[in-house]
Amino acid sequence: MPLIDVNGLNIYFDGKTPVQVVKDVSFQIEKGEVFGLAGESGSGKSMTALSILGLLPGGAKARGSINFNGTELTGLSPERMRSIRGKEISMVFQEPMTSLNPVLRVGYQIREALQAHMNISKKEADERAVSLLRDVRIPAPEDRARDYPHQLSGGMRQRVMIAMAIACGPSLLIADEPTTALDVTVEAQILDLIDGLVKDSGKNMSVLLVTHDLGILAEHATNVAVMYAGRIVEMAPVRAIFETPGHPYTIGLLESIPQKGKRGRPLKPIPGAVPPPYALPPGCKFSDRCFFKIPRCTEAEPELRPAGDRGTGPRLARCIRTEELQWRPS
Amino acid sequence: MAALLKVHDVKKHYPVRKGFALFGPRGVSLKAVDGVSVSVEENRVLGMVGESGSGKSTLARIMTALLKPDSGSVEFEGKNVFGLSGKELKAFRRAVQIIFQDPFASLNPRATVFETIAEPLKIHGLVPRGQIRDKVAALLSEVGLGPDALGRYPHEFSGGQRQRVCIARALAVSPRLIVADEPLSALDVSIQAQIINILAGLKARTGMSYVFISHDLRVVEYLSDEVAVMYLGRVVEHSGAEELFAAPLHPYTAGLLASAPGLDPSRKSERQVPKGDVPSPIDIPPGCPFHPRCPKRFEPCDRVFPKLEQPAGQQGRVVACHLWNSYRNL
Repeated sequence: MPLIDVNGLNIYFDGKTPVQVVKDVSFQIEKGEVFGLAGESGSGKSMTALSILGLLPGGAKARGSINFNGTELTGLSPERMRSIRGKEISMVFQEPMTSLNPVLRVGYQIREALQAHMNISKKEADERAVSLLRDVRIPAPEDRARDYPHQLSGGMRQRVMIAMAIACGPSLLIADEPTTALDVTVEAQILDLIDGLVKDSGKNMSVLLVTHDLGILAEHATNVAVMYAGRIVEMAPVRAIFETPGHPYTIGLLESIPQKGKRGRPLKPIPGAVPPPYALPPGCKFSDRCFFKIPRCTEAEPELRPAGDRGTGPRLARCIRTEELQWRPS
Repeated sequence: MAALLKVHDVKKHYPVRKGFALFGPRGVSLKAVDGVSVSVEENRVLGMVGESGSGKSTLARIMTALLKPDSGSVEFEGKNVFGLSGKELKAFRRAVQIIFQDPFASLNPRATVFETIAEPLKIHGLVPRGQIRDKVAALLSEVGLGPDALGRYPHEFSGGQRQRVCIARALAVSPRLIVADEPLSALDVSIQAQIINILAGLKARTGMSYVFISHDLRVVEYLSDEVAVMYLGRVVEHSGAEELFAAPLHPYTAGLLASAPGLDPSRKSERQVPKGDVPSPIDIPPGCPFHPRCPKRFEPCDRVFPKLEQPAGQQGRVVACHLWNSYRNL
């Protein structure tokens, strides 16, 4: 049984004309895996992640089913959701400075997370906080626990956020763009840390890694879903996504990233820009930017359907011409 | 080849007080740029790479004479730019343009696209009044925007479109050199590729030069003819782009390359990421500033500052590392 099973998730914003930002999203995350959710701004990837924790912004409504370890999360009472959030499912956000309380010592903030869910003494919680800081490879953790967030570097703050997130031994860690605000060398350290924590957990922790950077997923995810305009357009094991992509949008993203040793060769960017959710084209939502479009593409929206193996793993793709795509990394 | 822009031993230090801002001890300084010499030649792209605190943005402002250095010189076509005034200064302002990172903050929200791009044309008297509209439309088409953009305001555009307007504004005066300071980091991946292609195309068509500043090594490798790697206010390695990316000499450059996410799911295991964070530029380590993070440090590194020198047998490359100078044989 998968750890989490998201089935037919739809997210709307109410208003005079309701706007749908996530449509018919389904995926499963297995125990002990890093599941990558990729997409550009406006793809619905963050909304999808927030809906799992019941943290959608006001005015947004989710429909569909999110089954976590046998518990249906949609429609759960706020009290019950609170007991899961931070304990069984926790989250790391993009900007560690805005997610930490600037006037409290970081050790205190970790202790707070522990005591919210566990019946332990202050002393035990303090000791546990220091050992968590050690787990996220913070040097001199006893001293750092007494620091305020502003005394720490960006990378250290993100480590503190991760320490808080894993404090209660969650089975799912949601990381939404966890390294976007960090320098490249620090980004690599944080991603390696997350990898290490997953391995050390012995299949007891899975990660939902939400990012705009496909490069991060190539090296850190087991399975990847690519989102566009609120829909999953392709979902497959990581090698399948990068070696034999089955959707023109995935190909477009890969062709947009300059690659090692390819200096001066023109990139093939995706033309145009992501349309706003209230002005999507008819039929396939990517059709207005697609290099592979035929008239039939705009007649009806394609299903997300099995699209063969191609030697790299079974995949799902939302494209009527996926079998004809012959892209290989050059 | 003659240098278009020559930066020689430029320093920019900012005084700071430690402790509580008003009462802390004086005499501490933040060394934003600490003795940098680089030059840009005709129709070449100088890529500048570095993490936060490396001084790359300060250097961009010094190169464009927006900021005066404490010492050192900047020469444009052989003339010291900080000695220019009147007509000569105006000519320099025309010849050297800058594109900033955030296209949301670098356009006047109350001016239409036409007004924004027409202003430099009027100031420099480049086009007869009657032809300004046609010229602006032509500039917009250079960057892939239609004439319908003319009467619109910045808020009506996406980030990628705004960055195109910024590029068109820089192009209006037919500059010889564009300094682009992280022009892509606010943009989605597919849009980044569009902008990269525009910049590469302009260089080929107009013979312009660029200083391209970025933390994204993939993009720097793609666009640059030569690359300077900065760390804590200094250049630590400078060479042709191909040589630098094929065989980095400085351990920091090697670490940056190892940290940059690639698109190959099988690459992961081999990489070696530098430990720790970039130290604060207020408190630069003694000896080689990189030594606390360096996997290859040896005896002199925490004591002796390595000069930027050409290693034996490495024509056209310079590196500031004891591994490559006389200390290697001690």
